[in-house]
Amino acid sequence: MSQPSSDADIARRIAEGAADATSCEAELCRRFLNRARLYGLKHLRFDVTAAEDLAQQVMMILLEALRTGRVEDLERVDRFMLGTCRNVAHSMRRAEGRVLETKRRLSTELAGASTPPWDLVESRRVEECLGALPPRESRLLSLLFQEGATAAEAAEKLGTTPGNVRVIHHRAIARLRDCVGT
Amino acid sequence: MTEHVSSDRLADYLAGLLDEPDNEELEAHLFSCQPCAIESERLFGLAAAIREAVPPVITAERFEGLEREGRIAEVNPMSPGQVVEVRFPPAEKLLVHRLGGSDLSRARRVDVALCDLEGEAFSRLDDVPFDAAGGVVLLACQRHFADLFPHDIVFRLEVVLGGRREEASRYTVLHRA
Repeated sequence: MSQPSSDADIARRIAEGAADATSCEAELCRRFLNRARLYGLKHLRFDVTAAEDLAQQVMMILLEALRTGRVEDLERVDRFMLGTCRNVAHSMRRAEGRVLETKRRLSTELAGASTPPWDLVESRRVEECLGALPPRESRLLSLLFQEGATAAEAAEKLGTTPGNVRVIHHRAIARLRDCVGT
Repeated sequence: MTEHVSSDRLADYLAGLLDEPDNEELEAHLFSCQPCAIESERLFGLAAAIREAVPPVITAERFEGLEREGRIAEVNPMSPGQVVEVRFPPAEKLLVHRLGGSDLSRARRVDVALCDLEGEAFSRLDDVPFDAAGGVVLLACQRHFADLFPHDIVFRLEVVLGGRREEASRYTVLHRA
């Protein structure tokens, strides 16, 4: 590393709003970001996303505190940093606890409250009924639902008009619902 | 929109046939109208099932996906002119007839005619996915086809070149229960 200044020198330059404050901020991030990530990994159960989240929050707090003169002992900016890491990790763990608790409660409360739409229809039965549709109708459903064709594209494939595609589509859906019983 | 959503309109919405303003209007209505929301649930479920359903002719990518899901019981590789006796796949599984060896390199479109042993077509699958370079069409046979189609089938591949339709090859499959 060719950077000669100490952590404290850099912190002071940022606090004083020196001409090179911006490059000092970058240098401080370069030095401290990974320390915060390491702390985050250890204290947030090696959850990489959470550790990154913590490190970024801590850097924002540190830089903002330096800029507004809220870091009292610039000689020990490392201590401020560690204290901030502790606080942020603590609040993240508490928030996580709350989220988990809510999730647990909701999953018990919501179980059976309503059936998801995809469980209302038996997919194998739909497959059987699709097979029993006139080929042109099942082909259209597969064009529209599986291949994402527009009315114009489907019309070209089936050799008909977009208006007629809608008619065939409605007929196919009605027949399918009848067969599936839905 | 105060009017309730008709099932035709909902079906158009699910199939992507409505314009964006109509989509938004319909969604706003579904969020504000409990009876319509409940009424539409089964159609949403149906749309999800159609989306996932295995069509009779599948692409190579779909084949790979189904293989990963463990849905393919067996692959039956066939050459033109061949006659093969196979068993229907177990319920929920697929038997894939790999119709290979056809010259599909110049085809703009491939159709499959399902014929009886006399060569009389009883159904058609038009404009199916095919591998032009490899000359392959993948037919996914399902157990319930046993109730829908004759068990002895000649699959006649037809290629469309420009405006002309030509027979490319025939494969005879005798399905046994």
